Amino acid sequence: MIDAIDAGEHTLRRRRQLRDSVRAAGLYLCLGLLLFVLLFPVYWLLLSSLKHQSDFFTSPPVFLTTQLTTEHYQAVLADPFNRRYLLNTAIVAVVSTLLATLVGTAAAYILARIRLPIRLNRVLLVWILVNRLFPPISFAIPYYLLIRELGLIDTLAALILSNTAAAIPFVVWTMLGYFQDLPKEVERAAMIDGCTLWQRFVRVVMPMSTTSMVITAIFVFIYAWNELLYALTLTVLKARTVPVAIAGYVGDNALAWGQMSAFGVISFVPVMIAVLAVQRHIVRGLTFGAVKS
Amino acid sequence: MMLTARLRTWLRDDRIAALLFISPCILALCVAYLFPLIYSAYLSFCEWDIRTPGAPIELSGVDNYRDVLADGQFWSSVGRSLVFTLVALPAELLLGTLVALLLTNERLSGRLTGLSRVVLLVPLMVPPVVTGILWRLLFNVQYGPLNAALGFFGLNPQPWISQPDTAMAAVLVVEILTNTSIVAMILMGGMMALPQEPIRAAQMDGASPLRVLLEIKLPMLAHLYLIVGLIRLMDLLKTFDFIYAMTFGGPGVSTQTLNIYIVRLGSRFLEYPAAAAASWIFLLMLLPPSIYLLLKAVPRNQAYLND
Repeated sequence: MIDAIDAGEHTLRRRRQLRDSVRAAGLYLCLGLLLFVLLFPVYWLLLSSLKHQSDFFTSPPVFLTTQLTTEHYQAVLADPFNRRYLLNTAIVAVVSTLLATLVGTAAAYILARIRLPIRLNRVLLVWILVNRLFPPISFAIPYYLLIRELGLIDTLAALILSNTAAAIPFVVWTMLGYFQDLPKEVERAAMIDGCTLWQRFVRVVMPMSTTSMVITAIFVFIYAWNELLYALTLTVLKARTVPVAIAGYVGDNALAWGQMSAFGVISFVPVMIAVLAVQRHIVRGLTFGAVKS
Repeated sequence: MMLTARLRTWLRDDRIAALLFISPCILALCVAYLFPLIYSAYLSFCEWDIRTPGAPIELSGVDNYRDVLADGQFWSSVGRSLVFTLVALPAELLLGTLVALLLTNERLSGRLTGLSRVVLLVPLMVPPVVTGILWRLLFNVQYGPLNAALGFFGLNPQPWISQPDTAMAAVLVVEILTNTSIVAMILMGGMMALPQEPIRAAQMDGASPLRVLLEIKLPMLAHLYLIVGLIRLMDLLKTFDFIYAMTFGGPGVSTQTLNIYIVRLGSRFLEYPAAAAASWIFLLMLLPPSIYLLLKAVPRNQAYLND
């Protein structure tokens, strides 16, 4: 009798173990599928950038080969225009990232901490965020005319201004959520000690907020590095950026797939480095203050 | 001396300092958004032949609006934008939730999920232009790996983005594969920040994982879903870069969303006033629901330091 119960429990446990390992196997299968879907396109880009020209036009295509070449990279980097585009993109992305993060963080701090007259806090916040909604197309033309009036066509300044403004709403949104969750006690103490707003922000709040600011900045950097529409409309040649150059490969009938892929990989590397540098913090840094614990 | 002293006390006032803090932000947005927007409203009521140098900009009433509203292509582009958004948004939210659950699952080895979280960022790191051209390669009829895989399973190759019937679906696939990552990432942050006590308590009471998810986790994440949904909604309605590089609205007009339509009007046909009018119709359709959602999503502040 007791033996029978034992045996029953035994098979029950066996069954549960089996079910658990089937579940785990299923989960690992899903994970494998996810990783494949995420990585295969990038693998194909990398492979295409290293393939010999003759390997492009075979059917079925070459999935795996040891016959690799760096000629496409050399061709892209040997072109002085391309080097200029890379430098332009780097300057525009770095400067707009710094500006947008600082300006947006300062604004978010005020909106979170100082009650402004006539309910301006909420009005301003909604106005700032609504800007994020406008498709850039809806004012690309008037903006182009404005930039032309200012004599800034084909300059990096025009791109820096537009990218900074375009990124500010995002910075305000993420940093506002962060500041609202940040306890106010330290700042109250600083106020009692007679610190001005400026001192509180620079000496007390900013040092506490670097992680959040850096993560926000990374996303701004990705945006500014990749921005296409403004760069397309506001530049002619001198201030061209990499995305415009890459988009230029599309129209050509003689498809330079190797060079196009190589340029794609090159433009992907700085973003990858930036993201990998902060990847530990990224997931926890983007909660918009929306999860109350 | 008096003046600098007065200036200093003035600057020490929190409200004055606050205005100084926030003014660069307001200034930048005025120059880059408010002014062009007003200008484009003005332009939309004007006639302007850009091809004739020095041609004047003349008021022409609502002609542009009438023309755009009468243009069948405008309405089909609106329809495509809506289809694009209404398919991609729920798909990204659903897949994003599943991916977030998978990558926070405690049954899987922590090292592996940690690594996968980094890999999850990869589609977001690839510039959208590159995504566009990359998928041109992947979808290529003759030399693309996708058709090779179909061939391996004995299926016929498909002309994915070179025929109108499948082009929109292909564009949607790329959009969803790319941007599910951002949804998953934000949701994952939320799931990891959830308080553990109610979840543990429910598990002790023998609640199934599904019930814990539906009755405890998701309700606590409702506000985050609103924000993620809103962010994606805004970005989906703006989507331009990768479609530009992948199909430029083609073949024919089969992937011409409203954004591509406006760019074609403006850049190819140089119809600036008509493009401005189309933009404004677009904005007027978008603004009321967006402002409503924004008001719901933006947290109300509890207390300010200067109260």
